[in-house]
Amino acid sequence: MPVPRLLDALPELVREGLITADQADRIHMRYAAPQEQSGNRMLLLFSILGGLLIGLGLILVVAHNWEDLSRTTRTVFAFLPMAIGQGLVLFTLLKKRAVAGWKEGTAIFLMLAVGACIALISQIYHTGGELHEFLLVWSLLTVALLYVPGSLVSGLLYIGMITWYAGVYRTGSWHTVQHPWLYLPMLAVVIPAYVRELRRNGSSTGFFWFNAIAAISIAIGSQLFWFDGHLEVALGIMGLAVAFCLVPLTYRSRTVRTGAWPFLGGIAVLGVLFFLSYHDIWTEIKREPGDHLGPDIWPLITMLAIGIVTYVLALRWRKPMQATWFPESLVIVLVAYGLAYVSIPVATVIINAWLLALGLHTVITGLHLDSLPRMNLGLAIISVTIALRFFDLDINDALKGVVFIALGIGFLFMNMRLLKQRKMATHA
Amino acid sequence: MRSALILFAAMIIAQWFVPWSSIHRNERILREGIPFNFRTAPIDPHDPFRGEYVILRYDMEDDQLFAEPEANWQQEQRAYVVLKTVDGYAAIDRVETEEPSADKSYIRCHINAWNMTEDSTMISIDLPFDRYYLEEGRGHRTEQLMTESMDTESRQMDAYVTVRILEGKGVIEELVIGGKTIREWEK
Repeated sequence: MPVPRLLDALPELVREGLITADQADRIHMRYAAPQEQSGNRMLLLFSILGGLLIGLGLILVVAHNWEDLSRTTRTVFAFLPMAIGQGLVLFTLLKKRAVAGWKEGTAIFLMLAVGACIALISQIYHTGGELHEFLLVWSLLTVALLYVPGSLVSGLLYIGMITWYAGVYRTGSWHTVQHPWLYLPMLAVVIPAYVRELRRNGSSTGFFWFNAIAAISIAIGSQLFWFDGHLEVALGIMGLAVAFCLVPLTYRSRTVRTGAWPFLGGIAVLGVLFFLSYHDIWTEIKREPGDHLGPDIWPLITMLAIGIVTYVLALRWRKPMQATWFPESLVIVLVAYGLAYVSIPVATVIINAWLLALGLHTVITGLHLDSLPRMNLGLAIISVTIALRFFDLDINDALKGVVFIALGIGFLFMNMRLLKQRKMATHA
Repeated sequence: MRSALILFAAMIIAQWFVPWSSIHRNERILREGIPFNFRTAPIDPHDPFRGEYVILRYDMEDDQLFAEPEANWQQEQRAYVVLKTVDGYAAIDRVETEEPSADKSYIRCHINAWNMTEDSTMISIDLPFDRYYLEEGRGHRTEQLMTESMDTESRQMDAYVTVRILEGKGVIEELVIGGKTIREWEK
């Protein structure tokens, strides 16, 4: 029942003796609070949007480059928005410390104003310097906003900027391989803010986005530390992906919104498994045995260690193969990698068999939990595995067609079965 | 609250100090630096934050120099290029590994190095002032001007930037194409 209608109906319910006046008051109080909260939420949303739009507008105005204005005038214009932003943040600190809308709006505005300021100075003096240098200075000058006034959205922007910095830095030089080492301490600076948000607003939408952006950032950032492309890169990705999958299982509380980690981790686990399901991928082991990894051994060990440590940590709340089989993919891939040195076909068969088992288990869990998305994910894993192998094999098109039709019928049948099961449960 | 205010104050100081120190350094170079004209050929890209600019490719960067074997140059090593003026344009006098104490006209930059034989190395320099920012929409026009100013016989463009040099750093003062500054062309 929509809230206003429920509140309107209260006097009638009291009159009819269905509830007491005291109960009516308590119901009224219960539903009055969220309306106030929703007003605050709107204020917060508009503050964030306002800060973002004004700040971005400022950057666009700066990017136009007003050459006709003198150097002094342009310098004043560079500092003015930043000074206003600093004043607003100070006002928030002193007077509106508890109001999220003020904290977010002013911090975002100051963050973008600082970017506009250093961009304009760079423009006025035709300072050379690559985009990554600009992003680095900007990030360093604004990182404190995560703590003073303690803005979550500026944290998201900061993570976005350092990820952009790391990507541009890694791909910036044609001559040499340069790794964005600064990305790591700059990311570590975010950890106390993350813990603060986890404790205070773990179930909020803001925290969901904090997790999503952090997960995307780490997924991209971690891949910028390889020197070369190897088969073992897939093992490193698997280590990290399994750690991502296990994030919600490393603590007891179910109300914390960390869903973005297993979502991204799951995609990566499947991506690596499908990649390794090809026989030819493993032949690199034969071509370059032993010491071909070079310094790439370090990112590999680090990512695998993260995966293994998280797996062990999660054992406190989860038995092996409990609820989902995705995390166990790490063990399977490591076993297959070891066996590939002896026999590549065996490694390939193990990965393909695991994909089918994983798909089947996901279908069964989906049916058991009455979850259509999960059941369809399982079916998709099975179908893609079969389809990939059919493309590999040199068999005639008619047979391929029959198999695809069979897969399609399988999908339809399973979905109809689950829907029927639901209907029967409702009637019962 | 006190620690929050201290952190806030530190942030404010940094936010003012970093751009201010950049302004101070650049203004000093523009005031006291020695001017040099660097022959150049710009092309027109765009930066998401700083807007439109032309990348400056200098003739000087194409010069390939034989390096002293004992200098043991490495790729992207820092170097000091001592400048001289030849026919009104900047030219390389010599490249050194240590900051020159006697000369004032030198630029700190990075070098590209590659081995010709076991005991001979070639180097070229990579100048740091490689961008000239323009008002939105003028990048392409500047590139057109450059093409028009090309001498068909020598295949050389009549374009250069005046750069003020001081203590190893340089700040671009002006971009000149066909004898007119870019501002004069835009009027």
